[in-house]
Amino acid sequence: MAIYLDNNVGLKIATVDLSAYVTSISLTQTFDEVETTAMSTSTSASHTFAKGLEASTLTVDFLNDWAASQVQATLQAAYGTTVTALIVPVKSASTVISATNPLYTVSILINNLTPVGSPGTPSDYARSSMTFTCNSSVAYATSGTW
Amino acid sequence: MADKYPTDADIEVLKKLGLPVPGATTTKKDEE
Repeated sequence: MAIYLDNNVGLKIATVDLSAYVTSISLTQTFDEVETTAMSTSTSASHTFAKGLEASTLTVDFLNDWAASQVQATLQAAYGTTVTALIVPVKSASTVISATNPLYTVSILINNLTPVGSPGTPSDYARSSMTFTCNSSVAYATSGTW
Repeated sequence: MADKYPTDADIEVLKKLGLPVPGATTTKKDEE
C-alpha cells in the first residue's frame, strides 16, 4: 500500500514552494462531457457522451504570510497571469517522484485572491481560500523533479 | 502544459519577487 496522511502535500506556484502555508488543497480533474447522441445511437435509449475539453480546478487554503517571497507576495506577483503549479502528495527533504508519489503539473490562472477578509474574525489567523481555474490539462508524471 | 518549466510567466513572478531564476528545463512532453 502507498497511502499517506494528508499532512505533507507539496505545492509550488511559479516555482515558489508555498507548502508550509497550505492548510488544505484539492486538485480536481474533470472534463466536459460532450453529447454525441445521434439518431443511430439511440438504440440504448440513453444519451451518449464523449470526453471534451479538460476543465480542472485547484482549490487551496493558505495561511497568509506577507513576508518576502511568501504567500501574499507570490500570489500578488502572479495575479492576473497563468503560472505553473506543481503538486506532489508527499513532500520531504529529498522528494522523489515515483509511481507512489507522482507529480502533478498544471497551468493555473491566478484569477482571484483573498488577501484580507477570510475568515475575517479576530480569533483566527488570516487565511486565504481560493479556487484557481486550470489553463491546461493536468500532467501526471511518475518521474521527474519536484 | 507549457513546453518549458519555468514558463516565461513563472520567471516574471520570480523577477518581481527578486528571486533567482533557475535554468529552464524542457517538459517530458517536449522531450518525447
